[in-house]
Amino acid sequence: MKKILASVLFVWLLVLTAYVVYDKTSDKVVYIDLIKVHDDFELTKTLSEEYDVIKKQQQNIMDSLVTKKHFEDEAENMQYLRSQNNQFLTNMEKISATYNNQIWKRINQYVGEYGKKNKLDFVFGIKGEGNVMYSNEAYDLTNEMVQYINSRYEGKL
Amino acid sequence: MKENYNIYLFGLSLILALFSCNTNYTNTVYNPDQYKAWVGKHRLILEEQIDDIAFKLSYLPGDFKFLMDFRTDFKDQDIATQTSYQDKRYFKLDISSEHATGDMLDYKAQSQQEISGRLEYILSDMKNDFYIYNNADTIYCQDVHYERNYGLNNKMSLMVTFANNPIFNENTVRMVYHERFFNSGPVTFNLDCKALNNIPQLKIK
Repeated sequence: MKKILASVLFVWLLVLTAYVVYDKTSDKVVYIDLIKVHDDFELTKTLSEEYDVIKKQQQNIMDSLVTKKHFEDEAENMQYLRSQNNQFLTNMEKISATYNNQIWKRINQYVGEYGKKNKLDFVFGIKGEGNVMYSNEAYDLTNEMVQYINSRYEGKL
Repeated sequence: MKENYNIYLFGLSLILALFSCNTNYTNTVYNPDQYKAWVGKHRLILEEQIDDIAFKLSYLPGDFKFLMDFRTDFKDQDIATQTSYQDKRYFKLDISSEHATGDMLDYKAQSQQEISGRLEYILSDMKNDFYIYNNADTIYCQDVHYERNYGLNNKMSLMVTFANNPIFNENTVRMVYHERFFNSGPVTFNLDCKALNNIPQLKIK
């Protein structure tokens, strides 16, 4: 009876040691498809809709400017419209950059939170630009990440 | 006998624990002091952190807001005023940053002109950046009240008012605040309507 107990204890200790060694030495590495995460993020959809609304409003203002004659001289008129159009384009670029910044800031924060929560060592972001040329799909965490960041954004977590 | 007693005691504690989790306060009537104490202890608070900006949303029942505004010495006509407060949903949103050294209104502002622009935005357009939605409907806020603290603390407190709406009878709704000063973007709070509606009654006279 004592012998059986001793062997069970020995096997248990062996398994425990193997697990601890494995846990310490193996990095928990996953990757996510950043384009999919970005596009499927609810915040991206919300801000894209808002961007389109602003763009349409600005476009309407531009259209109304075009129909009016602002200066007697045609060249002066054209120059004025061109400068207004440039201002419109600069504004839209600024808004787009702001929104993109907000989206990526949030993705980075939520991915970091997910990594910490799940004790991951590395989360690689794949963008199809050649940084990671091949990866086994078993390490693909894109769908789980999309689900997590959307729940997090919607205040469900 | 002692074993039976222990089983009964365990059963009783379990029942008490279960009931304490789902206490219904809607039929409880409190005087102003009891009511304030209850709200202080039970009010719904949700927090979110985006980068270095912390958002803290507290739900203030209409009766509690009424008590905050009127304090004491209630007269008969105050009962009518109390009803008008009950027709609204009040939320207090505190925005702060551990890195801000003074007024949050000035935080990360590049110029005095930007600060003036922020004030103008709070007065006119900010209410359009607060909305509550569920799967079918969206309601926009009626009013945003901002009281300046002139750098006394690094917190910006906003009182956000919504009309009482059938949307609050759902299980959960989401409140979104599209933050535009500190580049946080839309911040979402998931509101448990059961908690919003499980409020005791206030008797002022």
